[in-house]
Amino acid sequence: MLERIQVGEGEVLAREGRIGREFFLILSGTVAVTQKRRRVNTLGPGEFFGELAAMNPGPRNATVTALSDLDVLIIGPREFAAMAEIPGFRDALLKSMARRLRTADARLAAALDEQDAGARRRDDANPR
Amino acid sequence: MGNDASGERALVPSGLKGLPWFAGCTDAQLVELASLCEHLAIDAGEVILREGRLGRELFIIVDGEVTVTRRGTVVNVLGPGDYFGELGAIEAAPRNATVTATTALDVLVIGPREFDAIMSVPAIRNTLLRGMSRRIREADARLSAGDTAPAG
Repeated sequence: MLERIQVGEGEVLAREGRIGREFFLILSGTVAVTQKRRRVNTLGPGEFFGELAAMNPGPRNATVTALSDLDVLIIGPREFAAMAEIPGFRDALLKSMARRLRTADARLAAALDEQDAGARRRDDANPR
Repeated sequence: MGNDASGERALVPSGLKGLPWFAGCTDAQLVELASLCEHLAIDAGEVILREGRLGRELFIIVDGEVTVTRRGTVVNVLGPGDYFGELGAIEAAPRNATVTATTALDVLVIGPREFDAIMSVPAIRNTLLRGMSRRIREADARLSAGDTAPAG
């Protein structure tokens, strides 16, 4: 499946927790990416979303909502796998995933430091 | 294809067969792969990569075990068939964790140029893409749940 569609501002393209296997490539317009109603990213022309579900069936881990009129390519999992053969696309995909992992790892490490600091504060308050 | 007699430890293509990474590869692909990988034996206790340092190699564990630490906290233990260093292989940036051999280790080392070559093999590419997508999902889930205690 490969389809080019236009959607209006406010329309939801992917919903957190729902099953979906399509990959989306934005041609024009912008979208908001939210997790548990918190905005985690804004994407624009040339950027993409839905790649996790296209590679690994599972619930969407974010909701994506059009912030403007949107022109978007919808790509099915089989076509997505074929696109990964294209070196330029593959590079962009790997880099974007690597950046997400680095950011997530850094946030997890910062949260752990925070917990440690909290534990130390408790220890200081109650010396053994 | 002739065998060039380098001093490097020879990698038998059939030795790659047992690794889940290469399960989907044809024999011809395994032969080519073996020529792209370096095969290293590392002693227990050696630090293979260090948080904050630059490095571009991907490592695939053939045998042995490593611990992954971030800011001094153990975040993972990896064994045969597991891999590390993929973020550096994808893009030049400082390593975001330290990896230490906890046993004698047998690893495949793949440089950035060879990494591009192995990514053109669908079975290998899919192993990496699925693994990365799983890690992103897990990290997102832990971050959104506020559950940041190390697993285990």
